[in-house]
Amino acid sequence: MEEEKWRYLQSRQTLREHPFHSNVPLLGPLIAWFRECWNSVSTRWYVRALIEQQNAFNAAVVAHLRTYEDRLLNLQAQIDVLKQTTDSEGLNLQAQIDVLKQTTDSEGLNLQAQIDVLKQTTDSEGLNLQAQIDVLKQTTDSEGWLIQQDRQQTALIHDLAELTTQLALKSRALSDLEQRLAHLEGTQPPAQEAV
Amino acid sequence: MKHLPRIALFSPLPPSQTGIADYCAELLPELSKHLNITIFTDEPAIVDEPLRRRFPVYETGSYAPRRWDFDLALYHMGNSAFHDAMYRVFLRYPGVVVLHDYGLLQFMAYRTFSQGDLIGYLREFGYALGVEGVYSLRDSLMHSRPYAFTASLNNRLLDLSLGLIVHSQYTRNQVWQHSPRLPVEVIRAPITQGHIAHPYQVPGWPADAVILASVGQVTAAKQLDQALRAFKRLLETAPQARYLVVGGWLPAEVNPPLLIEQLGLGDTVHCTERIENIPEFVDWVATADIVVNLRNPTVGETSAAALRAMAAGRPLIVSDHGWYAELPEDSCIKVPPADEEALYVAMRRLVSEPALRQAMGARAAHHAAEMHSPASAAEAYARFIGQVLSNLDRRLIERSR
Repeated sequence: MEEEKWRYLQSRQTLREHPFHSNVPLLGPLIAWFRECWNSVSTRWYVRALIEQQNAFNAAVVAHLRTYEDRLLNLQAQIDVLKQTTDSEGLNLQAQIDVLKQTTDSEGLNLQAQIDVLKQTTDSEGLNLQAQIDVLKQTTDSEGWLIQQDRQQTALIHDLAELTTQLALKSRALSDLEQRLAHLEGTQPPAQEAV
Repeated sequence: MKHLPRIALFSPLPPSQTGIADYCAELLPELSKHLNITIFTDEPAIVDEPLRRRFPVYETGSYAPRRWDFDLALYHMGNSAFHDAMYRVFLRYPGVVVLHDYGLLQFMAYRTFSQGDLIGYLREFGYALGVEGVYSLRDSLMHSRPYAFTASLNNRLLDLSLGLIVHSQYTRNQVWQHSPRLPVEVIRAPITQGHIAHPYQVPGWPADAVILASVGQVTAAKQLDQALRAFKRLLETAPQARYLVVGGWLPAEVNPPLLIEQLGLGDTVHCTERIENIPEFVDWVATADIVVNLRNPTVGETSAAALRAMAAGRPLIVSDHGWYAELPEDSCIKVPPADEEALYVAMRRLVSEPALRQAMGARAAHHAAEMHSPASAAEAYARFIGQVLSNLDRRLIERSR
């Protein structure tokens, strides 16, 4: 609470008997006196007790308020300290987070780089393996191809042998025909040429 | 004017020590009645005189410039080194093939791998089995992994052939699994009859001995170890039994003297050296009362030794698979391959029943005379070659349309 308000409260905590006065010209002091006197007769002894009771109560309230005010101030001070501490801790944490984040980012980059390297290596190894597989496949295909060629060549030799045999048979049949023709014509058959 | 087909015949011939040489020598006289034959063989100068007098004989590699003189080339192909030079000619000038052995793995290994030609060996595996075959063989060679050498490696030969003659339904079925459209004829292997056998007498053996025999060069596949183990059991109930091993053995695969010693068979088993001529071989076959002709595994071969035993009137005990499974039931006992107990039972039965032996032997001789005569084989050859040539002629006409 502001100090001015405290002063105001303190100034107002004690009740005082009201001094009578009158603004009536000339008769005013007489009127005030009369009221004073009357008050003394009719209400002073009774009102004064009430005032004292009220004053005690007000003093207690102000004292309590003061206590609470002090405690509030104390709490506020603690809060401020705590806040400062928290802020400080927070900053520290943030800094740590920032550091971690940077580290993580850095590690992440590093890991990513490692992953990329591994990926490249794997791709490279894969390509290498694939190349080896291709070579093996080609070798197998090549051997298979050679075997296929060998079989095809064998089939061709077989067909050639068939044709050669057929040709020899036809050549012999032709020679027989020429001999018969020569016999019919009474001439010499032509000399047979080698096929 | 009807011409006999002009045939260039490729084969080893006597004195080459191979059954196929003997086979050809026995067949050629009959074959020449149906075909105009010129022989191409590796060493013409050492071919037996009767053949050289009867047929033009040229060196195998001299075929190329003469090829237009022939209508067809006929190759006798077997699973041994004797066929290497002719196979080279065949690769360039294919013709009809007489396939004496279905499997050619050992032959291919000989002409490639054994000569330092690994690539050639891989090539044959690749041709037969594809890339997987190449990798399997490569892995097996590089890492000493066991490889199941069951590949026949005859695929190229089958693909090149213009026609195929085989000696059993078993082999024909095998061929048709690979080449269903290839003309294949089953012609029973010829065996000469009429040889008068003079059985030998092994010194020290009792006159009433019942003699079992393994005949022909002994290899691991002929299962002599099983036969001798079964024979040892047999001696417990038939002490008069004896065992002959006729025709020598392949030292790299078997050691009969050591086996006899290990089994404690002593003088109850007699081994001969390699027999150089057929009459002597037949005399030894006739010395036996029972011929044991096991084979495991089989590569689809025909056993000339078994046929000679049948022709000599001897009952057989054979492995029940391949060509052997097609022998008549009434002239042999067939036992499951590698079944020693069944082998022992068969031996004991034939040893203890002389009448059964004689009856089965007689039927075997009859079967050999009826079904395996060189004359009927030659007719079948000529018929099949005629079919191949006419089919080619028809295909030429179809192509020209």
